[in-house]
Amino acid sequence: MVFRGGVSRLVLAAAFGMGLTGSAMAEDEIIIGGALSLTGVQAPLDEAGLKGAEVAVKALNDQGGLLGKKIKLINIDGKSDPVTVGNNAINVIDQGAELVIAPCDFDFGGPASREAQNANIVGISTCASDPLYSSWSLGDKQFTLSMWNTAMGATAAEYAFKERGWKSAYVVTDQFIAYTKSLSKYFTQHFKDLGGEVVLEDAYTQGAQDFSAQLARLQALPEKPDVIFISSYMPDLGTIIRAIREVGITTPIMGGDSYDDPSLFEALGERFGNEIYFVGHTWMGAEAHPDMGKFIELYKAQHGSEPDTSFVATGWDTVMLMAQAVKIAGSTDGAAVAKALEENEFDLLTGKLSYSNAELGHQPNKSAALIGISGGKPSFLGWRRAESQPAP
Amino acid sequence: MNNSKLITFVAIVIPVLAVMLAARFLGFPVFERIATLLFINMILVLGLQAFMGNSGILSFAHIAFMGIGAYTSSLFTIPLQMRGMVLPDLYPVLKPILLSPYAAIAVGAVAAMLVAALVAYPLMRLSDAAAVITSFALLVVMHTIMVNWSEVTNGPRTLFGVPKATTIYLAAGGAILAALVALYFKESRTGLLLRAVRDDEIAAGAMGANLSLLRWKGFVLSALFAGFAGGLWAHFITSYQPSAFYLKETFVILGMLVIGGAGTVSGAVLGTFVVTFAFEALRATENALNSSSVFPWQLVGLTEIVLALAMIAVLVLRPGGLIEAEEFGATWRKWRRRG
Repeated sequence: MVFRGGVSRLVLAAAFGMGLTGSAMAEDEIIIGGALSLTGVQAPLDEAGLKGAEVAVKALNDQGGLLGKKIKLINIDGKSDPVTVGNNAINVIDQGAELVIAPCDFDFGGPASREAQNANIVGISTCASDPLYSSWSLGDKQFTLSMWNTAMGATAAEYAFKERGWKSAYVVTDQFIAYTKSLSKYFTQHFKDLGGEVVLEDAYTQGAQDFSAQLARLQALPEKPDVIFISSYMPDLGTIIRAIREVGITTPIMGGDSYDDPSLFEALGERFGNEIYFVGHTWMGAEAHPDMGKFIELYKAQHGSEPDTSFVATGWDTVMLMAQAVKIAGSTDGAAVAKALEENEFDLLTGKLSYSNAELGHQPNKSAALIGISGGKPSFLGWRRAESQPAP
Repeated sequence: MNNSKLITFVAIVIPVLAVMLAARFLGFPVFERIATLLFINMILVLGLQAFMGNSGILSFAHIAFMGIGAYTSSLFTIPLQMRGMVLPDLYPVLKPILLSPYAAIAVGAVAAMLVAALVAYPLMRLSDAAAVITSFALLVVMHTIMVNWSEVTNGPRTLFGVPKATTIYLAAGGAILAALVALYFKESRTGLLLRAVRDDEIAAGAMGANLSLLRWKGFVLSALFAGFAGGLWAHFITSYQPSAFYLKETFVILGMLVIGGAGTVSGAVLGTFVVTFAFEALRATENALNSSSVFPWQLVGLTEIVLALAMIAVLVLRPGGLIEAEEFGATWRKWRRRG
């Protein structure tokens, strides 16, 4: 009897367990669900976003909530695994979530947005920047808070070519995810359009932890490039930059928002952390936005320390963007909130943001923050907006 | 089908149907999702059982064939207008071919079987440790191909846009079919000969059993199961990347089979159920503990650790798994006769 008896008892136990965990939906609260990853490769970006989102939820609730209801944030660790992220999104929607915060990347965050779309609710990624994060591929109620890589790559290319006069570039692309691939694609395309020359395009794959083959090719170049563009992700990004700097190459290095990670600054330190520039979402100081000081204070009060990356602002902004859109729409209905997002301009810590309509992919129209690393410390170089950008 | 086999089959069908109906009508979408994945895993475990249980050779390559089934079937079902965005470098020949998901899942299963038929023949001449290690190497090779063949897999990045077609009914039906085939194969001429080879390679060989051909047949059948499960999985999950078909999934499926008992079909099914429920219960516990902050730190990896410990415990206490050697039907009849 082990077989059937055991199984049916297990079925009962499981059914009972599910009954207990499925929470009762309260009428007087609006649930924002999240599947942000607190472990794995995505954690440095998502955990910061979640912390910022928590501050925003508390701030909104302290001001009386949204539409007269309290906001509740439920996040289940997506573990940097797209399948788990999708499962967790279903789980939080099941628990009554009316808005979904998706992880900060197309590969990892896409599944959450797809499930939000299936449930007819709005999903916003905190900072996915691949143009695939669009209404074309995810659905007409899905958005990303970030600028697209078309803008990020173009901004980097214009800074390099126009502001600094760097005419030749060496480009390294991590084959890891859509973000890393498309960022260097748009940088390369725009850099060439401007008249620059890409002397070598090289590939790397996250996890290899060995940059020696690429380094040999870089050193063998007959003419040294003016700038090195590396589109990769932490932790390997730190390894790559160190490998380049360790052999005495001091050529400026550029990249995208994945550089905005305190562990990168630490990995490079004073010795290797020089002449590095990247295009990010914002800067954690009053130079970037007048309200930044207020946010940092609230953040300190809630988490006990200063924010160490600007990704915390993407979490705050995502919740605030949702709240403003819900207020305009007057409800959390997916179609109404999506319409509010499409038709308005929002003033956020990561810059002013408006979206194109669903036919045009919900392309975000947004400024980019340019940040430099010198002596292992980041500093804000100001807001930039690319004059033109490649088509996605 | 004799009486004992019929009882075993019924004993497998009943819990499958019970879970399916409970999941469908209790009204928790999450539960339905878990049940569907359970059925898909059951097909994978049964496929592995068909080869591993009968031949006695541990195979690590199983999940790679699941990947082949998933990618092949998805290639034919991603909507045409989306294909350029998902797979920008897809070969022009493949661009206009659109199949219904069901046909595509069948194509995926056959593709996995054909690949297995091609690569396995030389490997099946090996025995013992050499066979196990080459199967592991095969998994690594296939994974590397999936990661780098960007034209059809989108490289290490997510393949998306796969339409959702796998329902809980389809998965349950597939699981029942898989159980039927696994039971039939075990008692078939090939299955019996294969088990004879497993129990005494030299004696069976001396009697004229062609051991590499027998193993090859088992392996190809097992790849068919895996490819079928992969197609179902792909059309359930709808977006995935090659890392889904690698070590983690391999150990989950192996864990289910080893805990349940590799030698029997009943064991494979029991293992799938037990591990799935244990997994979900632990995950719920982990989430509940984390959200209620009983501990000042976040609990991470509880499920994986407990599963590994359970595997060790089973191997120490019952090396053959929960149902070691005798199918449930035979046990049931003995028990009836005695009682």
